Amino acid sequence: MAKTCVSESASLQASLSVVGALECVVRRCVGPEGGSVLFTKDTGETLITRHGQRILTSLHLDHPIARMVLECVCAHDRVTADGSKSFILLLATLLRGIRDSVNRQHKATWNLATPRNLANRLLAFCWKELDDVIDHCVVPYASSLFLLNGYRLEGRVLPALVRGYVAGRVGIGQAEILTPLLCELYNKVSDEQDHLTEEPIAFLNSNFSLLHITVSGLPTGRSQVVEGIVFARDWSVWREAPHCGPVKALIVSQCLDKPLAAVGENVSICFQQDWLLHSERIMEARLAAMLSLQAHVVLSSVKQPERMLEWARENSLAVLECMDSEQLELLCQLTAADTPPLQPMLRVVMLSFYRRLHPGGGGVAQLGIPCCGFPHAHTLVLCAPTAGALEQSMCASRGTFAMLQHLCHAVLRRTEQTSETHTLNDSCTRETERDGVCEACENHDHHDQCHIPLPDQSSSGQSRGPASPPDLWDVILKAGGVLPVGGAFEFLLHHSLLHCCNHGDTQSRRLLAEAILSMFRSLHSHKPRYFLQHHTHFMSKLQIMKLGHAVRELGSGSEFRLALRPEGPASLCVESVCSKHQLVVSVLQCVSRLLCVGAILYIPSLAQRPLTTCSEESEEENI
Amino acid sequence: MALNAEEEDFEWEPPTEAEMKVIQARRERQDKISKLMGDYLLKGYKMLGECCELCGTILLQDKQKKNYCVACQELDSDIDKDNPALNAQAALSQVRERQLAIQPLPEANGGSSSDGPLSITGLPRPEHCEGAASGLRGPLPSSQPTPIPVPSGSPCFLPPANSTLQPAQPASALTGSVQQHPALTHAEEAVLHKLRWATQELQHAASVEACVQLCSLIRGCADSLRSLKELRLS
Repeated sequence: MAKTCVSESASLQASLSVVGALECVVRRCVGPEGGSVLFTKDTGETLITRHGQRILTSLHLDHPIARMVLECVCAHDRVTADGSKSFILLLATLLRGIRDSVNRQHKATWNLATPRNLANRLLAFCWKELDDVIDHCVVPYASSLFLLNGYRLEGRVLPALVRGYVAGRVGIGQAEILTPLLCELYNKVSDEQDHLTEEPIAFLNSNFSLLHITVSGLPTGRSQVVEGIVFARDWSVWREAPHCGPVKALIVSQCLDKPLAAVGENVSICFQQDWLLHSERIMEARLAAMLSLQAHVVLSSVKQPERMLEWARENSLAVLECMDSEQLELLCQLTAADTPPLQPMLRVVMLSFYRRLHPGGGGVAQLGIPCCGFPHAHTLVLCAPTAGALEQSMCASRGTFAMLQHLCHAVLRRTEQTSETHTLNDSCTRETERDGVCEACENHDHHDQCHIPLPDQSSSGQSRGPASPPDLWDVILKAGGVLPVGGAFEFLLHHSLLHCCNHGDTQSRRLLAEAILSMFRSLHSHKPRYFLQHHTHFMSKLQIMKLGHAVRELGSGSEFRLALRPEGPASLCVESVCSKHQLVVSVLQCVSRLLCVGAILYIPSLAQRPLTTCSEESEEENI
Repeated sequence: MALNAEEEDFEWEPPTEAEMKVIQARRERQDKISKLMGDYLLKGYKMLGECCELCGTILLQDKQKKNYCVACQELDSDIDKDNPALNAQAALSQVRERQLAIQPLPEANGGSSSDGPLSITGLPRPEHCEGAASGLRGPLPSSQPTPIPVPSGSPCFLPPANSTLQPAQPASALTGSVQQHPALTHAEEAVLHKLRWATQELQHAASVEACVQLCSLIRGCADSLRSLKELRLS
């Protein structure tokens, strides 16, 4: 029998209870100073993690609202690889804000649908106005914030981005080691060429699972980036390379002793011995054909028979078996493998070298790929003392590249759209372009508030330094794609929502602004004084920026620290604006999904229904 | 419809202090429940899709498939009549105590002690406060503009006679269905008396040490009251 739980604003109450509980779970793990959660299974396995999505998926959640929230978090994590915990915190704060707003509402206008209407209005605001607010009131300040503090980030944007991401996810020691490694991997894969496209990062992100190996039991400092592709298998037959330089390798995808019959071909066999002789003959023929190709290495995706390994030993070939087929495909793709004539089972590739590595106890195979520009394959060898720390490092590394790709994609697309707008409005002056772009600012007074003097091309060229080629990350920095960590986005968005543009849905703006700021404030509830100082500092800098003062007037050696922890410029961390933007959008969508729920029906499962057949049988027996 | 809306506009008032207390206490209770639920989730409890029948909190299930309600079994607030989160009258009485402590001593009125429920404070009660309404239903004096008719020479919140305390007790006393042991009643009165005295002292306390001691006394009184209530209900 179904039991309904319908009461006034049932969805809001239920959502608040569920999300409140989830918030208490994740709150303790937020930020670089947060803790980790230790999960233990009945089998004795333990998992130590502070990754939001991992924690949430490990909980046992049967409540439908909890499952909905979890789905939204997972979907968000797939897109940005960031912000699962912040998602829950912002969601909780926003729901409380909606509840307070509903409570304050006039009793005559309140009805059961008020929370849902509010949620729909928030969603409408998200689609129609939020993009404008961020593009025109947040992004323009982003690049100036660094100049304002005297931090020249050109050339160091990528390490700052990676450090900002990794610092909250692994321990400090691990973060210090992992950050330069990830930057090195990116630089080497992109071959340090000036790619102003997202190809290198897209390649790294999609192939990261093939371009890293994990070694447990070693100190983290032994992690390194090596050239080529490393396969997590040891050589079955090992021979040192006879000479330096490129070697030919054969890729076999089937077992060599299985005779293949072509379609239409007849094979007549009388006895089993006849069959064995037949297959032996075929294998010998194949081996002879392979020998004629003068390869030094045989790479097989399957296990080969012992006869083949003997042959390899006799003929001084190195053999690697049971290789991962995806990695093999990548190898073929990168080396442009071709199939020799008359031997359809084989593929021939050229390798620049082949080695046997010994990270830890066992051996692994390293194959070098001839370098012909991007992508120049390199592999990240991740070491950690325990499996848990290793998994954390691996998740953090994978997430870093996903986050970087999301950032590149968003900024480059926005830059393209802006450049299209520029070409379309060639005849217009720059001021009219600005006026036209900020359509929401009807009041001319707001123009000064919304726009700051954008850095001229000439001044940016001077500040860059002589003769440095344009880096993708510097372009992203200039386009306002990154902000310092520690609340810059929250403060900026809060300020923009409240003060920039007075028309539109003011209630939604105010709700969202208060939710964002109170979420950030509650994160630092244990040090409210720092939060207030930080906020005050930031607002004063914002006022200065709006008045358009030159950077030099502020004096050198500015004491303003953007992060709540005092850090020097060498360890400045930045975060991507589009991740935060996506976070706000995802939370607003989740809120509207949650509050559109009308009633929650509980239907007991089959296992709980009482069985009536047993009693009937016993009655029959008695009879 | 428009006329009705205008009438309602005139009638609408911001929430009274008692209501705010109720709202605030409810929120704190909800926060405590969330925190407890979060702790249990991390211990491996499962969050079910059902709600508790008594209090409406989401149920948890442990590994032995036993259902558990954090509110009923840990916070124990749904039977606690002194909790302003759930009983508006308790909130009202809390507010009145505080107001009496703040206000100056009013002029004496000897006949006021027979006024019954309004001897504590003569402030008009909110119409929509049902708990208070049920608890204070009784002979109302026709004019209520003069505040606090109480005997002189004593702190304004101390009723001179024990009988006037009875109607101000929580609604369970008025229903008459629960028999009260006189010793328990006396004990409750004494503890309430001390609670009120401590509250008044706290208003005037100047040193931190005194405040801390008074707060611990108030906490002790509240715990004693809770135990007395449990005794009475068991």
